[in-house]
Amino acid sequence: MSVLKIGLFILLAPLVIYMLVFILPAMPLLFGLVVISGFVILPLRQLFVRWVKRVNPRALDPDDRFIPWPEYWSAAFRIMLGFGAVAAVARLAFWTSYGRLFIGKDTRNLIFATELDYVMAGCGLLYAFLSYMQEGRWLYSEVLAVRNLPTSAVASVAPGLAELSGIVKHSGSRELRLNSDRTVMSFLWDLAGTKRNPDGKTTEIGTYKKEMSKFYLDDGSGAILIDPDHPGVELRRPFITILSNWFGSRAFEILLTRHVERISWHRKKYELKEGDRVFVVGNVEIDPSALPDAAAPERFVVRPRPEARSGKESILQFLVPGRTPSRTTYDIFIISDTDETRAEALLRRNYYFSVCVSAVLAILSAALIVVSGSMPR
Amino acid sequence: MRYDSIGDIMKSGIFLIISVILLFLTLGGIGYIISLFNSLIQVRNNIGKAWHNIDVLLLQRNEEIPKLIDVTKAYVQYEKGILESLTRLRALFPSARRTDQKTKIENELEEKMHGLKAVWEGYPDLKANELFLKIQQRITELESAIADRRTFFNETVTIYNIQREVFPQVVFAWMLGFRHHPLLEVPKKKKP
Repeated sequence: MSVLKIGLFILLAPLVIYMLVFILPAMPLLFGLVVISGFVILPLRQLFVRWVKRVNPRALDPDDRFIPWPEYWSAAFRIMLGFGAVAAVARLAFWTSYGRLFIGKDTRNLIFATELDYVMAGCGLLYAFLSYMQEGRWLYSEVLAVRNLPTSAVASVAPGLAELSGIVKHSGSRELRLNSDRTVMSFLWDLAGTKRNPDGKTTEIGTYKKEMSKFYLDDGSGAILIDPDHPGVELRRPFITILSNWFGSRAFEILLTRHVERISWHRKKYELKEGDRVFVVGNVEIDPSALPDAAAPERFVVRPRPEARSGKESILQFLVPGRTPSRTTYDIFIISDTDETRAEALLRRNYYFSVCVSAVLAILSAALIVVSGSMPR
Repeated sequence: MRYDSIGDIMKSGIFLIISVILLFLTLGGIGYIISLFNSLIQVRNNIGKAWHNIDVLLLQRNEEIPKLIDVTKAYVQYEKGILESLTRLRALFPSARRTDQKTKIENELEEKMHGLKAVWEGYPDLKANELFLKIQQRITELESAIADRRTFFNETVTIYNIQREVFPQVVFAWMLGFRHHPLLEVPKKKKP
């Protein structure tokens, strides 16, 4: 990166931060409008989907981009709460300057200013609670699984949740484009290309590449197929993961520490290679593609398990009118290139991080209620 | 609510923040207790799962025992007690409901089987019997598979036993009646 670009970044960064400070507090209101309009739009859309299904079922295959609406609702609600939570913190941090640029007045003198603060703080408190219930509780269940499960020998592994440890062997299922054929998993924040601007200059476009192939885990007693290739399986990076959770998705646990290559200041590559020691916790199930007469470990595959859970898992669905179908979620799935103790420590660290984020949000949101309710207007 | 002085505001603010912290600590404490309870339930259920993994093989091995007894009876004169014990234990095994009961029966059965193997040494004619060799080979194969799964089962049981004995889980274990679970023992070899 040239000196000019660094200079430009230094100049623009405060402006971007300043804009965020004024736009973010308005986000709960904007998303509130979206949610309210959703009460009208989504049922209409649902009717339209039903009609399309009746008239032309082929038009609605799994990739037709029609998102099941309770999921959409859940994501929209979480995004709103997420912005609310950030807004509460921003409101508190920039108390005196808040809204001056965005609305043109000091919001301390605006009508309903206190009530708006209470809404923001309420969003923050609610989000802190929901964040713990979803992210924190899930991480803790992973810690428990690692601690409570003994390591199975591949030769005598049984179907169900199992903990395995061994050496990575390439299954030869497919070549990875990112690296040599020794790599079985690769996560890379890379340069996708450059875009030419109207002024003739070029802008770099970054991208996130994820490549995974099936591989065998060999512990000396036998080899078992591991199939991590699923959209929900992600590299665990504490802050990024919590952010992604705020926006409605849940990452699963790929904890890679051995082959981490820093390509530039903002680009890193994480890899798992053939010959690495690997620790896996996942669901062992019968592989439909295995040969019918295959013996026990060859018949099995370890992969994230789709599991329909009851509505209580998704408390947000109670807020949605109409049907609440069971949500598809995935059971515990962890791949780490560390040993069991280190993997548990990493998971525990992520858990504490998640709890701390929730606690800080809750305390700051409570502080906003105090400040807003007590300050003279 | 309005306040007359900054001091009042500070007091109110500190009170609310302390309340939130206390609420978090309380919720955290409740969560911790729930997680302890869930952890105990999880390790107990893991024993059931590990048992199902080995149970199939034990039943298969036990099905071979009557055949072995029938062959042995014709040769063995003075060790009828061992054969009767084996028959009794084999019959008891399917009727036991809990895994700890089954484990105890299996441990006794394994000990008797080991005793029987020592008896065979004194009967060369029996060891030359073709049917006997066939059954013995089948049992040896099954016991080899059992040995792999026994290790996993014992590790599962050890995790359970440790959890139910450490504080504060011991309180829950005592309240819920979680008893010590025996291990599947490997018979000790006699000294030459």
